[in-house]
Amino acid sequence: MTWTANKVLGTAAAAVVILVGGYAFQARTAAEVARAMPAIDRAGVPTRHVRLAAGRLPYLYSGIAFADRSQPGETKVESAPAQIMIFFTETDCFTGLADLPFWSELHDALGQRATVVGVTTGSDTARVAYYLKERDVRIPVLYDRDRILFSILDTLRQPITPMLIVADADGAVLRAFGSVGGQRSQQDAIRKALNAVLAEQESRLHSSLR
Amino acid sequence: MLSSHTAVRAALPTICSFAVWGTAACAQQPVARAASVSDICQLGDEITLRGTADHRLLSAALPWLDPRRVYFADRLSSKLLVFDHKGQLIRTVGTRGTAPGEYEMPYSVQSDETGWVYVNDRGNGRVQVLDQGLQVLRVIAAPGQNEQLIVTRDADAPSIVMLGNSSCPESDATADACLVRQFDHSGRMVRAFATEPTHPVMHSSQAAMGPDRSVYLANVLGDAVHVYGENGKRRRIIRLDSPSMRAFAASTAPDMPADFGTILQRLRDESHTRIRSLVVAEKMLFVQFQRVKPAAGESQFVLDVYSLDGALRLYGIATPGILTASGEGPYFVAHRSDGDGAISIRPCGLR
Repeated sequence: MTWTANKVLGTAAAAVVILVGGYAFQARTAAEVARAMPAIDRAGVPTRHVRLAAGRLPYLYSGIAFADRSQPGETKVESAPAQIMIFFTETDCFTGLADLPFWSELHDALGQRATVVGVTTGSDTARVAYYLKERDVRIPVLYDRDRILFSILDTLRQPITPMLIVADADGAVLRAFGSVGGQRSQQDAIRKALNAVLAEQESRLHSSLR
Repeated sequence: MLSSHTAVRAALPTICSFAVWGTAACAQQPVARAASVSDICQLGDEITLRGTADHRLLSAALPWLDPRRVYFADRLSSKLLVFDHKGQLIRTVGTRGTAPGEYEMPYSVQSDETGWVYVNDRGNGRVQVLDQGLQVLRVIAAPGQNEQLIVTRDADAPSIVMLGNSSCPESDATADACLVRQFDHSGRMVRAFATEPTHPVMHSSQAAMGPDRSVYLANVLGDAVHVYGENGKRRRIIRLDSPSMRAFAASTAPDMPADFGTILQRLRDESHTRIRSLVVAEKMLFVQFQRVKPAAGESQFVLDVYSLDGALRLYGIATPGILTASGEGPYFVAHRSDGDGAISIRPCGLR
């Protein structure tokens, strides 16, 4: 769905900036909501703790903040400079399936620099667990039954999943990336952009510690 | 094994002006009318494929009804599942991988009159041809994200059509991902053609093959079926202008959406219609729409029937599932996603 994502993001970006600029994400950050949310791993067993860290993804909604900046003290997520949330549903859409190995690669590659978590919704956790097992997905997955985190996508007016969102430690959305359908060149572009965003966040973190 | 279409045709009244009564012109002016599924089908016994904990049927793929078996390309497990006509899973074939006999997100499966089986091994960019024992006979390279596989059953001129479209750029219908490729059964590509520049093969296009091996193509959000001849040249455009289509006209995209972002938002937020399947059978074109978020009392799947020259004959047919067709004829498929998943098949013997 690469062309689709590009088209959507390309044509809608300007409008989105106007629509959502300054939006406060239900008075809480995505990270805060996610932290309180039950998580499921690939076996379908709830895991008590999913550490949210950072990640960066390419370009299209750069600079759109969802955090409630008036209450910055509430939005810290451990010491991670950023976090990556991958919104998906357990569909058999080819482009979505083709992205799955990339998620695990990001999770493994980013290590301590960023935490990569999946966010899914729906009523059947067993289905999700089956899906992750069959596709050998290794990232932690949050179960967003009530679509609390998914409301980010509504706000973005971005109906396509999978959608990869990068937020800083305050929960401000830094980037959003649509599906790349397993295409290596675009995955490389995302890696490059992620590294740049992470480096920037790490630099800010170090500055604040001086 | 397709049933006679005489009943379908007989059910189609004609309109004649007084002056031309009895003339050929009169006979060529059919009146379209609303219809029900019983007007076109003698529904056969239902076959229910049931998933198990090890092989859940969660994929939206359409099963292929063969005279002896039912094949299902399981995109999630990357296996070919084989059922008997009682719906019992009798065999699984393959595993994830890239070697012959292995699959990566197989997207669809068909068989031909000889019992050979053709698997659209989409993730590996190829078609794997299996013999009756489901051993690999040959591997046909079909680069790109080919979404559709059509295997003709014409023994004299066998051909395999692959339709690539998922990453077809809107701006370039000649891009590799947009091409329609045709192979013979030896695996030799005999033709590759691009659709018209104004009609790039967009995401989730639907396709069918006519009796003269014309390829019928429609974009899922479009309002027309484009017919391409064997030479790859477009022969005609069939405008889909039925009452059932018009009912959703306000939220249906034009054939070439100018603002696909808006369309996608509509897909999520609004009731709308999309083309769900094309089937050519008995010299008729069956165009099925899927109403997403239908109003209370409305059917999710609605079928219109056109003659191959584009005249609307029957419309507004509520159906018990997605219409597809194999050599056994048309049949309806309904997916059930609860539990381990299940898929029901309801043959439609054309009247």
